[in-house]
Parts: sequence; C-alpha cells; structure tokens
Amino acid sequence: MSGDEATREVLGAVKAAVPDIHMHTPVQHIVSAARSRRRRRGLTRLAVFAVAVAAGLALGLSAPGSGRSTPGAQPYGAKLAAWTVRTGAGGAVTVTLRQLANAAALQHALAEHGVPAIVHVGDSICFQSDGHPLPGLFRVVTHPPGFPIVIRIRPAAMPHGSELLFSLTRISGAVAYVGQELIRIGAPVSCLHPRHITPARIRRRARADCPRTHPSRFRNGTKLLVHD
Amino acid sequence: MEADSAAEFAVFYQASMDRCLRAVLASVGDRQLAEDLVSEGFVRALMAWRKVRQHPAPGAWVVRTALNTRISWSRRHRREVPLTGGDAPALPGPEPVMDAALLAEVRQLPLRQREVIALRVFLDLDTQTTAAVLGIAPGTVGAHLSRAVATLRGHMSSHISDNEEATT
Repeated sequence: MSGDEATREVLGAVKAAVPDIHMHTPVQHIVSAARSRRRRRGLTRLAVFAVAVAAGLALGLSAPGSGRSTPGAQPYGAKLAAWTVRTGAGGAVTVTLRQLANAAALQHALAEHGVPAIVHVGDSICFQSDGHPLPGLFRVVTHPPGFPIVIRIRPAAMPHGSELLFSLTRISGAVAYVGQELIRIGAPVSCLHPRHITPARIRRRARADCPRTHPSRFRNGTKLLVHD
Repeated sequence: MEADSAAEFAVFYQASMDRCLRAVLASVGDRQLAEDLVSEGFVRALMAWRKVRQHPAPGAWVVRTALNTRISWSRRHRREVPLTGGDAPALPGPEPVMDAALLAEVRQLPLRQREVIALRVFLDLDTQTTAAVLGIAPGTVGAHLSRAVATLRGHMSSHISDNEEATT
C-alpha cells in the first residue's frame, strides 16, 4: 500500500468514525448571542472610557505642577500628587516625591512648613560653592531608599541661619536622585553635572556630614570606599 | 447592508455548521461540548463577520476558534468540581455511536495535528488552504498530517490484530 493510499484509508476511517450529526442550535440563537455580546462590549467600552475620563480628571487635578501641601494632622490628600508635604505630630516634615514638578511651589510649601530650603530640579547636583556645608545634615534629614522617595526633615534640628539645598534629578519623568546639603542662608551655590563631581568632593562632604564616615569613627584599617 | 450581512451569515451557518460540528467533535469527543464550542465559534464569527467573510475558509476559522475556545474554557474550569450523579442533566436522547477507540486516539494527538486532521478531513481543505488557515508552511502541514496518520495507523493495525486474535 502506497503512502497516499494509507493516508486516504486512515483519513477515511476517521471521517467514518464520526457519526452524521447535526447542529441543534438555530441561527437566531447565534445572532441574538452576538448582538447581546456586542451590546455588553459597547457598554464595557463606555464604562472604560468613563473611568479613563474620570482618571484623567483626577490626574489633571494632581498633575505635574500641582503638588499638595497638608499642614498639621491633616491626612494625605491626593495620593497621586506629584509631591506632598506634611507636618507630623512631632513637628517632623515628610516630603513624598513622585514626580519632579513645580520646584518653586515645593520650595514655597517647605517654607510654609517651617523648612527654609532651596529646591533645584535638573540634571545637575548643587553644592555650597565656598567652603564646606554645615555639619549635622544627618540629624536634619533622613532619606530611606525606595519609591516614591520620602524625605523626613526635622526643622527643629536645623542650625540657626541654615537652609536645606535639595538637588532633584529625574529619569523618564520619575525622581531618580535626591542630593541634599545643609548650608548657610545666602551662601553661594553652584551646580555640577554628576560626571563632574569628583570623588574628593564626595569624600570631603561625607567627612563633614556623617558621623558614621567621620575619621574619628573609623576603625583601624577601614576606609570609606567612593566609586567614581 | 446589515440585513445583507445577516442573510449572508445565515447562509454560511446553514451550509457549514454540521461539518464544523463533526470536525470539532472528532477533536473533543463530547457531543454537547462540541455543539457549545461550535456555537461559540459562530457567534465570534458573526461578531467579526466583516473580517471572517473575506477569510479563505470561514468554516476553518470557526473550527479553529472553537478548538482554541476549548483550551481557554478548560483553563477557566480546571478547578470546577464535576456534578455528582444525582445532579447530572438528563441526556436529550440516544446519541449516535462513534468509533470511540479511533476518536480517542485522535484526541490524543497534539493540537496542531488535530487541527490539520479537522481541516483536511471534515472541511475538505487542500494543503495550501490548510497552511494558509493555520499560518504555517504547506510542507509543515504535510509533516503534521503524516505524523498523525502514522500514529492513527499504528492504532488501527493493533486494533485489527487484536480482533483477529479474538476471533481465532
């Protein structure tokens, strides 16, 4: 038996194995099922569109440039805001950053919450350009890792005549890095692109600011490792 | 225009529903499930009629949709508990007898081989059209068909030899 004949025989057997059956479903059932499904799909699309419009409005209310400042014990208002500033019960100010928008408004909101600050948004990181920044930044600002970026500030720990200098950079619209300095009010400030910041500057700043990296806290044989 | 499409679909449905049902039944083995799947395939065909009516083999589109629907239904109902005997729905009437052993062997074939069998045997599609419907090369259709035939032939041979032994 040739291959073709064998194939024909097998396929014929398969065809014969299935009885001569008929569909019992009338075409009207198919048509009405399709109609009602189309109607449901239309309603679903309408609902999705309505939700999208509502979400768009909500985002518009808290769009970039419209951060939210909630003084006192008020709860967080719009969680979708680009940023929120809140003063907790102990006087600590919490800044939550989701997007970099309206740095001037953020600076203003911080001032309203008792935090004198300069907020710089861009590709560069800013420093006090003459001399060292003021010590004790670690007592004033804590910045746990994660997203959204949360910065906790204790205004009470800020030395008299000082202000905070925040440098915020972004990647694809999201906050990517936060640099902060504690500087004298009115001190000259310069900003550098990160690739121009030398390890020596970072070392100098680390020694001045952080007790954990202060030379007096180093054990024998240990040193701070700074990557370029 | 709408009425024309509905009339066109009705003609297509009447002409191809039984062939589609047999093609799907060969693959799933359950008469009621096959009818549900084919109905679902036709409902989807009607919803996409503007596209399906231009398809080289609209019946094959329905069969493929039905077989794919079977996969998604079985995924969805995988954790369902089957009805106990007392709650089982009554069958409407006596069902025609199938060559259960051969069809059981067909159901063991991989999906692609079953699709090729369904399109070639029950919808009488040639290799080129089958390849176009499945989106594969004609040579691949041939390969799937010859593998399926070899498997089924092996089953038929063993079945024949079993019967001969039983009669002697």
